[in-house]
Amino acid sequence: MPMSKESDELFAALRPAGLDELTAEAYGRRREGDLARALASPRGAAEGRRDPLPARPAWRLRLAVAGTAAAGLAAAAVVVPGAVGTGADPVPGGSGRAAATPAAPPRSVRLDARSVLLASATAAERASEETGAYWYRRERTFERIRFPGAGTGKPARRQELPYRAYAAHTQESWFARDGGARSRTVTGQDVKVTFASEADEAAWRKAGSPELWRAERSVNDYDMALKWLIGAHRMTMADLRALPRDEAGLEAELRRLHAAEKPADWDEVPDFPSYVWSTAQDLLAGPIRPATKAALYRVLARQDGIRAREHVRDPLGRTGVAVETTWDGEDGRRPARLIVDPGSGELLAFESRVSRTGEADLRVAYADSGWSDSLGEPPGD
Amino acid sequence: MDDPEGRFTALYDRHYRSLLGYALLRAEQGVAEDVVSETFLVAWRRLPEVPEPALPWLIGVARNLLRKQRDSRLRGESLVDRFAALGGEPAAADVAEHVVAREAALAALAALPERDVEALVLTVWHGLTPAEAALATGSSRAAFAVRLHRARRRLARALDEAPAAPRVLSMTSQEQRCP
Repeated sequence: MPMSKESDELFAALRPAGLDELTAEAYGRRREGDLARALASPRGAAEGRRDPLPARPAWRLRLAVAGTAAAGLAAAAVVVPGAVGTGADPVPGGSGRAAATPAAPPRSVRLDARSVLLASATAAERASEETGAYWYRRERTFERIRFPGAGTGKPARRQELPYRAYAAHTQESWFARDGGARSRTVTGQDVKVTFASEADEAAWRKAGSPELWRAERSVNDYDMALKWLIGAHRMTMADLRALPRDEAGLEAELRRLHAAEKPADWDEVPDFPSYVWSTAQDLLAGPIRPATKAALYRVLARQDGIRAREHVRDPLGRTGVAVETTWDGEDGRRPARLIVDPGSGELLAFESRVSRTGEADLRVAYADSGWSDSLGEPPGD
Repeated sequence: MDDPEGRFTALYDRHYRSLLGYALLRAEQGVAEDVVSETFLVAWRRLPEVPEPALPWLIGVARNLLRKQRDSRLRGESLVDRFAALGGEPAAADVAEHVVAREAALAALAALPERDVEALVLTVWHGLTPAEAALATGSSRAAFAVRLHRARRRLARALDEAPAAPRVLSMTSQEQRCP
């Protein structure tokens, strides 16, 4: 027998037995989420599509699942009937001067996203400058389940589910402020599967009520510094805390980072407004300083193509103002949303790939965030 | 390709376990899973560039991502240590064609440069051809052939020298564990 055959057989037998079990288990558990997140992100440029923002380029651990959302900006303004405006724009249809006359109240007013964002900035600035050992965040994610097979480990089921189902699940995270300390995520909490309609649920029953989402709480410890992303730049907690605390400084820093993006990390490097949008989506609920948060709202307010919509409920039922932009997806232009509370300056939630019917593929609500001093404990009061 | 989503899903289903098996040799479970997720995200974004067979390309991407993961606490832990950590009894069947002390084989491998062991991992466990494995590891075919040869020779010697130890290992030929 030739040497290579013998030694290869020996080596084959050295393969750890635990490996098969580990990989099969992970395959069942991760498949649904991995597929959904990849397929929800823009496809390669060679497909002939030019989505304004590519998928998130760097890997960011599970805790930042939400970051797969993509957004681009397009100039647009919407008229919201009957809404109360916070801006100073004239009534649509009237001449510019007509606005000066205190005539009949307008039936519809164009909401001013800029005012909403500036109000949020002012509120954010008022927050006190505290810290603790961990930045805590509890977020509830709502996402469409598009493919069968989660948790079953069965191969190659490519057809989309013939009914509309959604998963909701909660994650808590503790990001250690000290880069050398342990961080933790607790995933898979309060998993709920819901259906778009009774007919959808009936279709699921008829299909034998397959498991659609694995309801399994998992505690994950990371003995490494977790990173945030601005574009493709990996930022430590210390980097975030060192970001400029004024509008001009922050904008200059974001432009510097944007200019330093490497095309190799992207299908197409996004334009600057898109870059600011995705940074806001990821960092407004992060451990940045209050002044940096205010500056980020202000930089965002300077970007074109953002519009506001009042009295929107976030996925947890909280009322806020939606700030929207539009990006080009596979099936046309669809809005992405940030839902903010201008009174407190908090980012309540974001939604991405909202369809024409107003239904989002991915919605993430930040239920709670703040500094905590102990791993595993939410912030005290 | 008419149906990119179908192709991508099939890639995922065919290669996930194999890819994670590779990543687990380099990172602890949570990190390894995230690296594999990211690898497939890259594959989706670059789907038209993904060749067939895809596994060498996917391993190449995962390998680069793992190398970037400098914070991993597994840094410094050798591949061979990792075999033990992933443990359990060896995956083996009942035909005792060769009997050798597992420890002797592991000891022989532990003395080898990391990349030589990796050469065996890629060709034997993952079924890559030497040319594909060279591509995945960014090395020349010649350099890869040297590594593979060195690793095989070391194992062959371990086979010859191994005593009939009480803790034995038996195997069938060409046992393939990975899809």
